[in-house]
Amino acid sequence: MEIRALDYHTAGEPLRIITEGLPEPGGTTILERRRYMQANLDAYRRLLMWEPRGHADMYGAVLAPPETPDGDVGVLFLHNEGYSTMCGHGIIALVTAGLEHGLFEVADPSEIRIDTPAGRITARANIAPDGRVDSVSFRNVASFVLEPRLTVEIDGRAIDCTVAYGGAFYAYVDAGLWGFDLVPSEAAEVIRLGQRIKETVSGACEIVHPGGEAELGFLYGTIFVHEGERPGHSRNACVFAHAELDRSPTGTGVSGRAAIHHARGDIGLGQELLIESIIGTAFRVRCLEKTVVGGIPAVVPEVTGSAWMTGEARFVLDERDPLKDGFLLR
Amino acid sequence: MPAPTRTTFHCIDAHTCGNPVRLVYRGAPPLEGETMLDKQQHFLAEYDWIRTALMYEPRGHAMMSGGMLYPSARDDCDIGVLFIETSGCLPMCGHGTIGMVTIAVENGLVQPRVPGRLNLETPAGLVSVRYTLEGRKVRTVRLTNVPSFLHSSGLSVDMPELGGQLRFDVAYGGNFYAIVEPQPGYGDLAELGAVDIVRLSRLLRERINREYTFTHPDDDRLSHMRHVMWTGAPTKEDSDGRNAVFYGDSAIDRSPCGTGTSGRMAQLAARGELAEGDDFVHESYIGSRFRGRVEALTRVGDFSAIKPSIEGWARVYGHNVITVDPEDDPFWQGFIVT
Repeated sequence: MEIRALDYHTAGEPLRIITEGLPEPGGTTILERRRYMQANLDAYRRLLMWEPRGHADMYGAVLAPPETPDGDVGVLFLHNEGYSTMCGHGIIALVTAGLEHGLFEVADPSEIRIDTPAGRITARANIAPDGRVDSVSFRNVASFVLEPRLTVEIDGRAIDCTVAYGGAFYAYVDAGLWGFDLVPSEAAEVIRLGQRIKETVSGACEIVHPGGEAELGFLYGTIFVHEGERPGHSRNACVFAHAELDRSPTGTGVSGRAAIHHARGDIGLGQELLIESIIGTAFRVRCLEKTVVGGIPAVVPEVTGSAWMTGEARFVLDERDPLKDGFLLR
Repeated sequence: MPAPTRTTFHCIDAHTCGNPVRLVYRGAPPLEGETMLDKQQHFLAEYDWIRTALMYEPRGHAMMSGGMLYPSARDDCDIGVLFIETSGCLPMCGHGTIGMVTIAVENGLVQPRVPGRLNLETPAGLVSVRYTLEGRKVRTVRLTNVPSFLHSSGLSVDMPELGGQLRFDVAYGGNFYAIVEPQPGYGDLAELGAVDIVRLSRLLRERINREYTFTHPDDDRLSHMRHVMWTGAPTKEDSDGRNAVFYGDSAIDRSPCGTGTSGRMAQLAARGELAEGDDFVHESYIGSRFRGRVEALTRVGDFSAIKPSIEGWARVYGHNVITVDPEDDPFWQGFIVT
């Protein structure tokens, strides 16, 4: 066995793009391929995401043929627990790597059409004068508020949260309730509470995507929000999958934020938000237009961020290795 | 000194019983100095960015460790070894030695004068290892560790999180270990999740160090207890014990811990539960195993001590060409989240 991968990071969050050695996940639509990989190829995900080849905060992408006639590429996203529906930092790294390494054919770098499990994403590579990809902006799936205010009990306290969708569903909570500044030294407690909130909200709120796609209907994580002193400039910490802590500001998470602030009347169309991560990296997000999803008012957000290559890996598997399938400790 | 321009490092990645070992075989900087300790000083002064770039996220992670090989100026050594990890450079590293020897032998990076044996010059001095082969691959590596001894037994501190006083022993095996065995309030290692181990160990270490001090009779610079070992019943029939070692800010050793196993054997030998020549098969938290042995009995100061050896295995899992671009990537030196 030999599997090749390109390693990138977007705003600190890794993306391991599998380039060779993985059997193609069967199916016609991306959701079918996601199901197929889950049922038949999950050992590859564990091998590539878990220790020792990866770690508890690893993230990956598998390329697939597009499901639409005009699509450039399809993609599945992998994490420590399974398969996400959409991933913003992943799109930014995928587009950067795609252009830098010719991973897939692109008709027009200002309009790259990517089919994800959550639907069509259109990305634009902003090319620097030296030819490198400076940043990537992508038009996300329609994003909306599902539950403007839900009160749940966490560690004996009543906590308000908002459930919104930006390619995945998140419970948004005010970091100030726990006195968090959202800095790396708070990581362990942020993870613990984030998991607790996700479990509690999942049980308290029916998570259904109004577009009717059942596989999109689950709570992916918790996002702590620290509103800064300057308007439009805030900080996010996202705990998702099995206690993974996003090093980036979370592309789908900032899209949900844009939907929340638009619904509250805080921002209008085109008005940009600057959102930092727990390690201080930033994405920009704005609402391009209004739309409706299954009767619910929604917006189409655009997210901008940058990615960098960190390495090229060739993974091997020693049949004698008792830990060859990988393990996860968190 | 920053990296002048985009640099690539060619690495072979292996793991020793679960703990990663990244050997940099192309891209290691030229280091000045007669001994590996001199070279380590030079590395830390001028090239520490290489360590952080390759160990920290996004290229590594909190548990990453590894090293580089250099020619040794010593007549009695086959090669010199520099150890790197997230916390800095270690003078000696057991799982790192097992991994680096495995990678170096399998890939022809070292030519042993005597097949099956290697003398390594580490910053801590000479380390002799023996290895066994399986075709062209290395099956096991055994290294002899420093004399190890039980320093104190029957100590206790208050741990209300576990229902009251918690008893522990302290042993030395290259580092000082607070060893916690099953007792009222702590039934077995199987009761602790990874998050519990980190949380409880931090508290326990802090409380122990507030009440007690531990000094090595030969060198009072070796006077810190930074490692906590939780012991318990093995999960496999032919193992003798299981343990999880906590160190650093939030690390749990994935391997059974070479110096920890040495300390544990010294504790058991002091109680008469292990004799000279006995083997001790020690499981890690994830179930991987080292085979320790009491090679000989000795003394350290006034303490009865053992000369332990540790046998473990490492397996190669990947070849990485790692890119570091100081002109472009804001995280060319890496970052750490703890």
